[in-house]
Amino acid sequence: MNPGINYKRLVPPAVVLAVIIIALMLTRSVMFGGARPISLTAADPLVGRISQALATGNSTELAVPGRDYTLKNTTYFEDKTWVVTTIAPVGGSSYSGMVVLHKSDKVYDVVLGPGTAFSSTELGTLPNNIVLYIKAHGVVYDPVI
Amino acid sequence: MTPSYNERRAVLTLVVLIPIAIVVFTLNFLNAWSVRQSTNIVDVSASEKNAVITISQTGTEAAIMGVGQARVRLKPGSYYIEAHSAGKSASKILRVTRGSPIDVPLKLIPVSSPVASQDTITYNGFGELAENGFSTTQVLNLKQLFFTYNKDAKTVRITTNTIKNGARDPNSTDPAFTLTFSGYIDSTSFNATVKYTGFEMVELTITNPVSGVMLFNGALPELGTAD
Repeated sequence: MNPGINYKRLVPPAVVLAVIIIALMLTRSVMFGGARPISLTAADPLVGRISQALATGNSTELAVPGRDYTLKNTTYFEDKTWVVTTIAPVGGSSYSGMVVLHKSDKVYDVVLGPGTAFSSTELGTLPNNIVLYIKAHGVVYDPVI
Repeated sequence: MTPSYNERRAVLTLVVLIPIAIVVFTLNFLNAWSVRQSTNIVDVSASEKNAVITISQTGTEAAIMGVGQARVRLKPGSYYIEAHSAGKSASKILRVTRGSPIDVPLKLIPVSSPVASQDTITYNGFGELAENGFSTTQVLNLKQLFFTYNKDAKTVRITTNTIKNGARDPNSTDPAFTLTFSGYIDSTSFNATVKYTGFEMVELTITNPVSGVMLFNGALPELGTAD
């Protein structure tokens, strides 16, 4: 205790300051209704959905474009409604394969892959020009009879 | 009693800090208000409590929302939300508008492995190929070609005592070497001829050992993709 200070005189401004600091800490939580705002980092149109498709198991890490994989030979079809691209691994990652995406409600969804080989039956629902493109890239196989 | 110097200094410090705190609070409040006005609450709940919930938008990277459930604020727009757990996943395209909070239940269902790869196959006898001049990359490429031929295979086994070097014409300008061997893909036998060049190029031809009919022919790297 400092003998030169009457602590009672400090209580009112200290309380005011404490209230402001507590209010500062609670403001965002109260105003957001306990919800955390999410802001997504701008990137190539396809990488977000592809990183999600590459996630497996209970891993809480997502593949990062540029660090874990890159996209090659990206080809759009039918006014960018369909797109076929190839995932190429970067460094020691094991991410690889071809993936087909379809745009619906402004969002690309993965409809085939990622994979390094597909059976003919898996291509059944895709438009003909995309089937031909995939076959031309040698990733279609027919199971051993 | 007249306040001491130390007391006056302490009071002054608090009195100066209070306006600074008020300014910080006001700026924080205005920022939070702006975010609140421009976003809506989205509650995502997965049927598996350990499911990892992710989100992306066309033109953005993906982000983790939470595990099992997530309560977030999103700006209006279309989002792709996915939850995955061991062997299961669920997804939904979500259109966020301003207004009432949005509930997004995700019921996970079993799915096959999202990335089919050569690693799902067990390879036996491939170590012997290094003894015949194969590089590590060529062995990997050969495994990939077997996988391309049959991605449902569990085991590809080379019968190592059948590995033979192909004849080379000393007058030929073809730089490729050739190996032949037999083996089994699961319980089905095969004959294989492998041509290999440099440190990467491998061409695999698989034939039926009884009929001699060619079942597969492929090469890696694909033409035009080698570095």
